[in-house]
Amino acid sequence: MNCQAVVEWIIAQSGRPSLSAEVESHLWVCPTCSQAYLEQQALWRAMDGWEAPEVSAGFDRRLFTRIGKTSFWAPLDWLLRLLRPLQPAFPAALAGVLLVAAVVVQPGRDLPVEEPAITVQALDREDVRQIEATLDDIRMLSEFEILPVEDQEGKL
Amino acid sequence: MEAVAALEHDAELMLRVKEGDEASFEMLLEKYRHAVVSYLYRMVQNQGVAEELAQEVFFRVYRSRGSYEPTAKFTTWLFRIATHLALNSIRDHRNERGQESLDETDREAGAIQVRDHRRNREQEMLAEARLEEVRRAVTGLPDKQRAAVLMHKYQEMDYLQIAAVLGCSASAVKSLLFRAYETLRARLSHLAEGRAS
Repeated sequence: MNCQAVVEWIIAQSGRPSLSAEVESHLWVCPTCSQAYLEQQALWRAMDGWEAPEVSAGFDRRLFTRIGKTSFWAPLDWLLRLLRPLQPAFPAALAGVLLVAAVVVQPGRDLPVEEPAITVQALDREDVRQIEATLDDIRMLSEFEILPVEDQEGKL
Repeated sequence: MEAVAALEHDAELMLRVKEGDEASFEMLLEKYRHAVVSYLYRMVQNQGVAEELAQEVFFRVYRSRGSYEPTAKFTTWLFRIATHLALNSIRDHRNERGQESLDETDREAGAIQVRDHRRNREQEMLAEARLEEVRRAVTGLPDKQRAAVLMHKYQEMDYLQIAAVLGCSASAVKSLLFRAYETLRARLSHLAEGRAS
C-alpha cells in the first residue's frame, strides 16, 4: 500500500477510528503518513465543533405562505406549461397579426376628422362687473377729450 | 438495508406529493429541513441567507413535484438544488459576505458560550479561535471542494452520492476531497501540534 492510497483510505474513513492492519503497519513505518493521519484526525475533531444553529421557528410557515401564494397562479402556470412547446411559433403568429392589422387599417384612408371642440368658459359675475367698469372708464375718458376746455374767465 | 428502505420511502413520499398529498411534503420537510439548512449555513456561513436558500430549495422541490420521477435518489436531487443555489449565492455575494460572516461569528460565539458553561474562559476563547480558523480554512477552499468536504464530513455522504450531486465521477470526487483535506491539513496543522503538545 503506497502513501497516497493510505491517505485516501484515511479520508474515506471520515473520522472513524478503526484502522485496517495494513494501514496500521504502514503508519508505523512511514512518518509522513503517520503525521497526515494525526493531522487528519485533529482536523475532523476541530470540524466537529462547527455546529449549525437551529432553524428559526417561522421557517415552515414562511415556506407554506409562499407555496400558498403561488398555488393561486397555478392554473396560469399550467397554461403556460401547456403552451411551452408552441413558443417558437409565437413570433410568427405575432408577425401575422401585425400584417393583418396593417392590411385592414390602410394608411391614407378617409377617416372622419373630428372638429376641435370649442370650450366655452363661463365668466364669473365679478369678471363681468370688472369688464363693465373698465368699459365705463374708457367711455368717460373719451368724453373728457371731447369736452371743450373753459378758460379762467369762464369763456369758451 | 435501512438506508435503501429510507431512500425508497423518500421517493414514495415524493410520488405522493406529486399526487397532491401535502402531508407527505410536510414529512419530507420535517426530515430534511435541518440537514439542508445546516449544509447551506456551512456553505454560505450566514444563517439568514442559508434559511432563505433552504426556502428556495424546498419551494423548488414542491414546484417540480409534477415532473418528479424517482430515477435518482431524493437526497441527491435535494442537495443538487441546494448546492446549485449555494454556489450561485457565493458567486453573487462574494464581496458582501466578508462583513456578514464576521457578524455571524460574533453571534455564534455567543451561542457557544451559552452551550457549554463548564468551560472556563480561556478554553472558550481557544475553542472559538480554533473554530474560526476552521471556518476560514473551509471558506478558503475552491467552491466545489468546499461543497464536497461539507457533504462528506457533515452529511456523511459517500463518494458516489457526492458525485451525483456535483455532476462528476466518483474518482473526481476522490481527487477533490484528497486535495481539499490536504489543503485543510496544511492550513490547520498547528491544531494537531497544539493538541499533541
